[in-house]
Amino acid sequence: MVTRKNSSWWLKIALAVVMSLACGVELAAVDPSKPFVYLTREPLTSCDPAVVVDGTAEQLHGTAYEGLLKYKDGSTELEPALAESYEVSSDALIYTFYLRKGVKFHDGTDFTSDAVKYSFERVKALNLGVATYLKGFDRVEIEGDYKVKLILQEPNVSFIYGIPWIKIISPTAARAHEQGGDWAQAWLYDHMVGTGPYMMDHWDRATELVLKKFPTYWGGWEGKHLQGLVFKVVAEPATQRMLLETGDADMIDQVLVSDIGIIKANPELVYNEEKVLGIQQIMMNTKQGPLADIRIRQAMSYAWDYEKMIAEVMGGHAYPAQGPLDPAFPEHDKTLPIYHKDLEKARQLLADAGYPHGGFTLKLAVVQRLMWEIQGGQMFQEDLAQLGVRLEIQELAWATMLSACKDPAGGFDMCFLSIGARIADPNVIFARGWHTGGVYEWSHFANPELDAILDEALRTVDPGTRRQLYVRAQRMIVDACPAIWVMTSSQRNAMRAWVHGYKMSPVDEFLTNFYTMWIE
Amino acid sequence: MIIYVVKRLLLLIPVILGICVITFVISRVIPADPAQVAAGLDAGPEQVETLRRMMGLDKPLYIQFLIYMKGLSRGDLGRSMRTRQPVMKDIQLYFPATLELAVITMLLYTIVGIPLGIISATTRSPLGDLLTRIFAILGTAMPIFWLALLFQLFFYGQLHWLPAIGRLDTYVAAPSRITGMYLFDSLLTANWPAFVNALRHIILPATTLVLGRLAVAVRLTRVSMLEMLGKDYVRTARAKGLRERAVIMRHAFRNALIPIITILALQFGWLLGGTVLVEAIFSWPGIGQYAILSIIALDFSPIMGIAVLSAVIFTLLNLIVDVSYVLIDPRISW
Repeated sequence: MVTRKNSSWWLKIALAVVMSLACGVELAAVDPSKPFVYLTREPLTSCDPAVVVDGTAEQLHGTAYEGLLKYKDGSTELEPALAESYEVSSDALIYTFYLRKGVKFHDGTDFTSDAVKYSFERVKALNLGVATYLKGFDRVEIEGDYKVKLILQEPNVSFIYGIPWIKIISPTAARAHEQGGDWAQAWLYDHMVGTGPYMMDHWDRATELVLKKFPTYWGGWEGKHLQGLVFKVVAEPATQRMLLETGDADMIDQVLVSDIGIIKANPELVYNEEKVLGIQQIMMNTKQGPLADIRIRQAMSYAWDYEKMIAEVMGGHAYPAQGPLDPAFPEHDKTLPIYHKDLEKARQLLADAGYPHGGFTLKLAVVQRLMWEIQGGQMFQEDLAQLGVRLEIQELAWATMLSACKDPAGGFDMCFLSIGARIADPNVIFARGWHTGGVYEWSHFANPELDAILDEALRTVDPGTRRQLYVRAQRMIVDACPAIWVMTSSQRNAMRAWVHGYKMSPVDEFLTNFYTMWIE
Repeated sequence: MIIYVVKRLLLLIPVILGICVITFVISRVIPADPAQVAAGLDAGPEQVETLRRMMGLDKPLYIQFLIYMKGLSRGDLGRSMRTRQPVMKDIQLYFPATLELAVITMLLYTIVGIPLGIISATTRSPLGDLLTRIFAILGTAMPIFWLALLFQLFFYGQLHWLPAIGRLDTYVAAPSRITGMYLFDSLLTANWPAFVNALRHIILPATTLVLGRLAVAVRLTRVSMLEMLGKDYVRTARAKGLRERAVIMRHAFRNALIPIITILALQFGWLLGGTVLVEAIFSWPGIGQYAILSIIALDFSPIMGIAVLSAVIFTLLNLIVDVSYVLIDPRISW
């Protein structure tokens, strides 16, 4: 009897493998109990709210940590958070906060004035990240368990607007994990112990941060809320959109201009867009090269096509600028001149400066792979060519741009720059872009008179007087024409239609109140 | 042979030294402010200075280099300004993902590419030859990121067969860490749910990488086999009455292996360097992603650490290939 070898065993194994793999991806359906999946473009670099100040970190920290105050949803106004109320002394040196009672940290300990003192002193001692919002801060004085005074060495009227970014951590947990006077930096790198509505479940620092509900959150869980949060790192915009369309993601933070129409046409998706505080400009080198002549800078301002930039490059998703301050600020001077494209005027100015036919070359730095800057630069290149001016565009990594554009001899005549606000106070724009030594002082303006005005505005308590100082500062800057004020921008994101309760913040695109959102 | 291996390993020292000098000089020559980038866009000048001092960037360049080399001699690759962790710890986090993807890709590459090349060489069909050429051209011409997006769109977006991103689903616990490679760790710990989940996640990125490079394996195997099949000893083997399968596999293929192994090693080294585009599209947390983020932030320590790692990988791979030559062809000795 001949026995045939059973040669189909490999077929059976293959079939078993295929069957288990081909379970398929379960199509997402609306499920209010499932965790909310948010796709973020960059990984979180630290769970410690004191050491990093970037959009992703601030957004993620805001789920587990809270400050004494917070920005009202959809507004630039401040409202109570861990403090129920506050007072500011007439000289703006003492900020008194009356703390909320009955608040617990994630480790079960009580929130009291000791936590505020510890958190603020920690930020000051480490002098990293969010310490930038503590300019002038000296010390904390405690008066009982629920009253603290933040004492400043010098008046800083913008101080209050940075308070939401100073997160309060559990001093009990931090002190228990301090090592060698490090203020628990090593431990808080991958642990979160705040008072926020969500607490850390686990963090894979390469891929995702997962948070679960904090059951004893002081705000309570009556009504509708998100039951958990998952922040996944997905750098590729096309992949973000794909995951959103299938329902595997509930919200994404990157929407390309080219995708807006597709998202809007999809009834299962919601497209959000709103103006956000900030300004996009081309800083011109006022110290070296052809642009040291104000007439040539003015010529550049008349050569830029403002309307085309907004209508075509940005697809209509931007707004006109008027000077160095976003028009949404109350301190904005509405009487400032607005430039429009006028090549004849530009040609006349060039002729007055001794260049009737152009004949020189300018170098423009743009951020690598940032398409709207690159396309705007190319548009500018074509227009300048009509004036006989050659424009070289160079894409730089952001780290390189920070250094190259800061140096007047860095080789660039113009640098594209976007400044976001992140706090609802004009000082943040002026200090970084126009004060001598500011991190974005790329026009090398260095005007001591302007510095004095800005320093005085920072100390001035009366809103009317303060506004007048900022109006003078704006006029001084605009008269010197050190930049082309390209536009003010909007923020964009997209989410599933089953997400409710979301409000975009005009202060910062990363300011999201997940606690008031729900799925239905 | 042992002396040869030891000599080759000792050669690693000047190679690493050279790599360190070159990457150090290049990264410091570029005008940049990595302290500002690491501190965050909104950090003030004081916070940036604090970070600069913490990271030793305020010291003279030669002191920075000496500090780095001293650490390197102890296996310390420095600290990343961006992640604020030791570079060695970051590499331990990111590298296993790349290693796992590279190993699975190479397995598929070998299992599919070499047999296809052998079949193509032995069938001697003009149509087969044409198809192989077309396949080779297509494989080389197709941009890998395009292929990746296409697979993602089709197998995830349309068919919903496979996941789009990552190494595991969110609420599937990673297997106990032994190697950091989820497939192998879950096999070793008999964690079948994690194994199946990890396998489903790796299929798309691995297939993308395989298809993008498969043509090289097929063409090279075919060419190498054709050369061997035309030799006298193969004619003799046939004349002796050996079965065709034995002629091909035991005689021709063994002699054709040397160039094939060389190419396989190069491909593996390339994969271990991190396939940035595939990792970006599939959100695969590998060394390529870590390298890109470090380069964008001009984070010096990781850049140098990855350069050193790449040098070590390629040196060891070349050594393994050279040793394998001896095993395949006893006529070769070092």
